[in-house]
Amino acid sequence: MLQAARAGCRDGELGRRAITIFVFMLAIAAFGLVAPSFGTLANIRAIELSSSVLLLASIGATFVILMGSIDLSIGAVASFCGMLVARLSPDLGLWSVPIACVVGLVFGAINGLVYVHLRIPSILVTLGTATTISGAVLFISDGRSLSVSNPAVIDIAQGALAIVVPNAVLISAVIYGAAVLIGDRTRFGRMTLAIGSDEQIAVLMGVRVNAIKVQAFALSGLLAGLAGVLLAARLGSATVTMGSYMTLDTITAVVVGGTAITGGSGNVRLTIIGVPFITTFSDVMNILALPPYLQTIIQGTVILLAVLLNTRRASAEDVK
Amino acid sequence: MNGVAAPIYSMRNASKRFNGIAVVEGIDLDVFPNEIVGIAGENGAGKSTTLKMIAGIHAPNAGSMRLFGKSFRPLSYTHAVEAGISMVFQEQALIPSLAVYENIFLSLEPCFTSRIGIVDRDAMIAVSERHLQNLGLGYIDPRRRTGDYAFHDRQMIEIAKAFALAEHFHIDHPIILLDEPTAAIGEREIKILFESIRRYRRRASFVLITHRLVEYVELCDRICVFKDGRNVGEFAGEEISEQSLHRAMVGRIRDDEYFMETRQLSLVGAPIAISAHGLSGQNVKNVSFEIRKGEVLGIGGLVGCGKEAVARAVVGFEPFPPNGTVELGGEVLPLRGRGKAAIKRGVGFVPKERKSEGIVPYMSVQANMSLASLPLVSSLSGFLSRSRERRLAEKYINRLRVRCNGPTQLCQFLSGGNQQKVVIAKWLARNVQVLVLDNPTRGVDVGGKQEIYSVLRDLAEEGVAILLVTDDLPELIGMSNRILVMRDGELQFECSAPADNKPTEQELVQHMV
Repeated sequence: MLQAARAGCRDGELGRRAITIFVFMLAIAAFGLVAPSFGTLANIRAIELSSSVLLLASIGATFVILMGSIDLSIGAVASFCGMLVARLSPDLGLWSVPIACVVGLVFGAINGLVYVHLRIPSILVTLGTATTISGAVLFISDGRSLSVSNPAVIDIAQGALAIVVPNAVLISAVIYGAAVLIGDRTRFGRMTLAIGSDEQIAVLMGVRVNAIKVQAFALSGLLAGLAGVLLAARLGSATVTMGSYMTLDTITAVVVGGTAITGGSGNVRLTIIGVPFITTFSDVMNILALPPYLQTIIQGTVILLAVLLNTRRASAEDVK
Repeated sequence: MNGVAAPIYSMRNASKRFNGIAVVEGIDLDVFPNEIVGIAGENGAGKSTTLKMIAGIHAPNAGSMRLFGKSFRPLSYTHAVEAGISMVFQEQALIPSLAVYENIFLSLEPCFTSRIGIVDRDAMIAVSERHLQNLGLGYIDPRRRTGDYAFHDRQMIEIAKAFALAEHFHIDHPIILLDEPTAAIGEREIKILFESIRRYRRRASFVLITHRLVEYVELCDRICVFKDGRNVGEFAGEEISEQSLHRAMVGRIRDDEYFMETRQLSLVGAPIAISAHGLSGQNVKNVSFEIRKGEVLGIGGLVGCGKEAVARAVVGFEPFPPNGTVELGGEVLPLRGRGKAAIKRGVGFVPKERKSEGIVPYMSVQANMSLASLPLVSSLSGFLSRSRERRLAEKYINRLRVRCNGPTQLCQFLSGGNQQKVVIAKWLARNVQVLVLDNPTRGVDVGGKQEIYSVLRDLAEEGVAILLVTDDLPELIGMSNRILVMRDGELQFECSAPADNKPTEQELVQHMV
């Protein structure tokens, strides 16, 4: 997060980012006082795990949103890949994990290819594939929940290579680091931003814009798949809709981080600001045992406030 | 006609500045009843700005306006419409998916709404129908989708809308502003439009801007000529002719210092860097030329003459003319993927739309500068090297004197001229051999312009071949070694422009119109 703050500084917008982070810190301190169990090791571990899962999916979503597109299939892909692991792991063991990730990648690539070649807006393409994939989840599971019992698979999320830090956190940290590198220091990263700003810029650079778009969607699918796998491993079971919360939560995390929903402005680095915002908040509300309906109401309001604090709202241009 | 009646509209000593740059400086304009007034002038003369001041879209920084004998200070376009002024926009302001009558009364629905909140559509349709019929547009069904009608019909609908709105606000004699109404329609439609305007003048006055001088001659009772935001002439009746108009429009004194003409190279025997043969396509007919190393080739012509399409064809940017070849260093570029091939062989393009095609505003200066040459600033690992990128940016910030806080400042915060330097730097970083520029100084202030000219001279001295497409005549003449003039997609005229023997603006303009 410090790195993110520094990035904000480089962009000349330290002020606003600092406020967001400060408000967040303050909120956490307040939670610690209100709910004594907030600070326990078990609870922090729970937050870490849920943040890791959401972070992975949000990283993929960031590149897509930076291009000015949107991926509404993340939740369905995550559910499918989690279910696939649950289904395959009794026979294949750990091998089920890479298979599920590849399936996620393929789903993402299909999204990208349909979007690019049939020239259908990404929001509609992914809305369609999300529905189809949700159906496919029911198909492979017969509509039932499956348990994940293979210890090696469970270990992926819950095991701890470095004593206190769960593996899921390590995985997402490594991938986050790689994503920051990709976002800042590769052609792909630069071009996603350029495409989001205006496609013509990238076209005039001789870039095959379509290839970049397909790659971004494939990455989004891959990471959604991995997030689904980790979620199943963490819960020890897979349900048919377990990933669906991710679709909107990833978008929220990206936007709260400060990436513009219209694309062309922002950075994958910033996404790490948005993720804990969402996970911590829902955790606290659970601890406080607020009625679930009230939780949803509060969460929506908090998200609006966070967006208000942390996005570059154009004053002159049209907001759609 | 005028002289007898008093003007219904008058503008006195109006000025308008954008970001400190004066676009209109002390314009006077009168509109008399039943009159068709033309505003003529080159690009950047302040015609459109003046029209928009009349329509309340831009507020003048100084000066006064009077309408129907009263002081007139429109705060918005809506305000101007209520006072009796309507504008037919160049990019039409009608919504294609709505019915004609809905467009005519867009935003006025409350006036047709009953107490219980239901819009009286039949009334709206009836009033629309009456206005369309009055204007001889009975064939237009107000109930149909606006998008179903052809462009020129939609233009008529806009005019009908102007009359409908005038009546609605109890204006007997509206003023209708026409901003390049013929830019997108064919000869037949132009004829229909003009006949209609002549017919409607019994009930209204018109102010016209067009880029075709002949249309002023054909249509206008009186023409005001603007140059550099000032009145430079007024013609009425018999005095109006194409010759008299463009004599008044151009003829600015060109400052050879400004364009550093002494630095212009003489290019005897310099090798040919790039050549185009028989470029043809939409708006372009059989255009061929070659550019030598170190040469600045200028292409001039009126808006819509196809010169931008030629620039885009050379760099292989769609929509490019499908026919013709571009040859670089003896090698013909492929038609498919010409853009990529051109970039690879050292062609750079500075596009007209800087904000949408040139820079990424929310990217840093250094990231923008390296955008076209990412492999050059990558380390062995394949990742971009921050230090190399920074060094590259610092080099070009110094060389082009880009005024910014440093390589990491966002481009968004740079002035237009400095943004344009970033776009040029982006290509210099790739060691371009050919640089194609489309109106590189559009929206750049005077000082920034001169700095860009200086950069272009530097590049020419290094042997870069430059294709300069521009609407700015002094720039075209001052910068170019050789000038091509295009009209209706064809090369019309070619002349050399050595530093000691530059053609005049008049010489060029006569081939443009």
